[in-house]
Amino acid sequence: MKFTVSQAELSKALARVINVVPTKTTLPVLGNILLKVDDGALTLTATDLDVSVTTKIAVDVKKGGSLTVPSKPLNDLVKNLPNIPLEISADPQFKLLVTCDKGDYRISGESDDDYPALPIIDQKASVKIDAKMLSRMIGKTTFAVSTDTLRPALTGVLFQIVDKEFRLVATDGHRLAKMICRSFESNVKEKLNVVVPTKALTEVAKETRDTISVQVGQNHVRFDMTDAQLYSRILDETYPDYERVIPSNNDKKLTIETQTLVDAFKRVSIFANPITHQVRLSLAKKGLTLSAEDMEGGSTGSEKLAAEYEGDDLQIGYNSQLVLAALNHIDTKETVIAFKSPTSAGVVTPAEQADGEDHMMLVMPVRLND
Amino acid sequence: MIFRAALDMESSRSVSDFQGFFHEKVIDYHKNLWYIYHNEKRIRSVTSNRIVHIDLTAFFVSVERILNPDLVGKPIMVAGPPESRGVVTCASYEIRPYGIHAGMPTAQALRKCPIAIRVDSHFHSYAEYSKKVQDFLKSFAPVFEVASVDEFYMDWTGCERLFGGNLKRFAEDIQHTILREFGLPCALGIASNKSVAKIACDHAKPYGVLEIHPGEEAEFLKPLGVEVISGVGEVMEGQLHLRGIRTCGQLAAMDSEYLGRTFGKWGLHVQERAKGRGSEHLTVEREQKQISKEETFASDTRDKAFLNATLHSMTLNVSEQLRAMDLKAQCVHVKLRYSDWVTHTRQITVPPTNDPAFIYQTALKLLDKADERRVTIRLVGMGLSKFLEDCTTINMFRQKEERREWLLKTIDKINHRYDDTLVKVGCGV
Repeated sequence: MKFTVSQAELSKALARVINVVPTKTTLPVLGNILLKVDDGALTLTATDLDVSVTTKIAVDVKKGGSLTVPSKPLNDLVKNLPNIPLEISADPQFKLLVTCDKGDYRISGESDDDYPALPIIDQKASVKIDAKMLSRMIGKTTFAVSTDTLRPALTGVLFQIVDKEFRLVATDGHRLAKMICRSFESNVKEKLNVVVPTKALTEVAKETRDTISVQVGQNHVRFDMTDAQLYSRILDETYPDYERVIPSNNDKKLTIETQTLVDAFKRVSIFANPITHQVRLSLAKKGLTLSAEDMEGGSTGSEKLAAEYEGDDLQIGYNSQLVLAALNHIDTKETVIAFKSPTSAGVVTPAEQADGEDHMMLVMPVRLND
Repeated sequence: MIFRAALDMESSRSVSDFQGFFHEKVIDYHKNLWYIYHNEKRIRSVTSNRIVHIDLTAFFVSVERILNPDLVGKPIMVAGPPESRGVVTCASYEIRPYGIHAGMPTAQALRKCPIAIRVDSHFHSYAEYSKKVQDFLKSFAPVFEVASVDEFYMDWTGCERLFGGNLKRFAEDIQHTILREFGLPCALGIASNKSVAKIACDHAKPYGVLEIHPGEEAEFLKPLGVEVISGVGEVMEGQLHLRGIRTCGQLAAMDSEYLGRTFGKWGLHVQERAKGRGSEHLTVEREQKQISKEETFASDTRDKAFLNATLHSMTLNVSEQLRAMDLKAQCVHVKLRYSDWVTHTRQITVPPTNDPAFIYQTALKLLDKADERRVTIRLVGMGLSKFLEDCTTINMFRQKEERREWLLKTIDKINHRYDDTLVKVGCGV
């Protein structure tokens, strides 16, 4: 294997795959990056067995071949070189030699025999969507996923196609985020339900150019991006029936300036119990009152806010961190929160929805003790 | 002035007198001092540590005598019934000369001292009296450690002037007040660290106060047997005796290199104790990591229904304790001991829970798993661990369970308010 490539090109390609390399692994070869040279291109692949990324860049090929090299020294070296041409070659003992104006560097690699092969997608469905839109949808949902490995389905994001809507849903049982997009292309006739691990989506969300094509197979899903392909295992778990918990008859409606509410929550929650973060919302025609108290510390905080409120008076408790996380994903000036009772979910939505999308979040309340 | 006035009062002070005069001032003063002391090492050179160990003498017996004054002056022991393999948990001073001590089987104790009167234990009352004494003592020391139900440590460092310049006299005042107000005799030991304070307290028993002044620790320990040091068990004592080491003084003077080679790190640790050194840091609050319960049966059994019922009542008990602390457990374990003392334990990780029905079902499965032999069983136990704060945000997919949790909490409240057994699950009646 022998080729020439510019430092900038190689650095960009390495950045695309490096995040997938696991920091701790029982299979040492996963700490390596697979380099493959043929047909005028260099292919870089990294995998942690759940998520794999592969990217291709054009290089000046002198001799084809492949090997795997430890990702860290290679990445650190390339990052720290100026933008100069690099001549890279491998010897039969799988030593990678990087030669440039600055010096010669040798990294011990391994044969690619033991490197896991990329999954084969026995395609059953495909979706094509604007990359910016998908990135936005991922950003607005992944914050709500669960970290509880006892319910693996909730650690991923549900990709759903239903009623000509492409939906992403994430929940941890205490909050739920749903983002719907209506402008997409798909060969799915009826329904599609797959749960994709969050790690894969964080990588996909970095791509905001052109369109992304999502190929869904039996066990894996592949995201075809402009200059890379990302493979991810599908979480083979049944996603809970989230639609059942979305209330449709929340008749009490609060409309309030988003930033005002965020700032007030931040101030009042300083005085909340540091474990429960419980803040009480007292809703009435004349506005909203936020209050918190820490029984142990004996400190209290309360704020009255001007807001538009329709419906009967209501006292409801929330974990301020859950509400703040939801409000941080609202990008309109005003937020609408619809309530029903002190023990049922509050529906948080932006005052106006952007074109072709529908964004909503649920936050479950805390039972107030009086 | 206020302190002087308090000290000048006649000796028959009541708890409220004490607390009225001292409480706030002592707490403020002591908190400041404690803060400075633990944050600025230079204070160390000025003040010597004053750690107080207080031990309620023959505590269970004392409480039984309060509950039944007819027992005063009689040779009694709090012990399980001899026919069901009970053991002595506390012996009164009248029967101690017969060689009766805690941990001895009741039957053996009765053989040694046939006149001894056996009394059943009342742990609820012991906890209640212990709590009363703790509350009283805490008003003299915000840095307070509960070592056990009847043993406590207080940090009185730098309090000499505050307590009238004479800690021993002040300790005696406290001792008299505890006897007068609660009817409980106690002994106190004052020294520069926990280890010496405890040994001093043991010396002052059954009713006395012993203060070891700074620098006199080694001298005090010198003639005492090595067994007074906590950490020297029967085995180590025997080993030391073999080497001609009988007193703390001899142990302190021993070549530490040799001691380290023979007994390892523990040997050096014990030698430090013998030299009169030890920790002066009190464990103010201990995090509870496990709640468990076990029962030894009167006679060995393989009666499935009986085992299950025992497990059920234990589950109710531990799950209620868990709910009272607003916690959920992620691990359930079950213990089983056969008549030949072979012990099996099994545990399983579960989603966070404090629901007795779920815990009981899990414990039943574990019991089945643990019970691999066809030998009769003498003990069954179960417990919960890996605690999580009860997350109070309602879970949208578990509303049915949430309602049940609410129901359980309400039942706990009713039981707590009226009677511990007012509302019970059907099979627990």
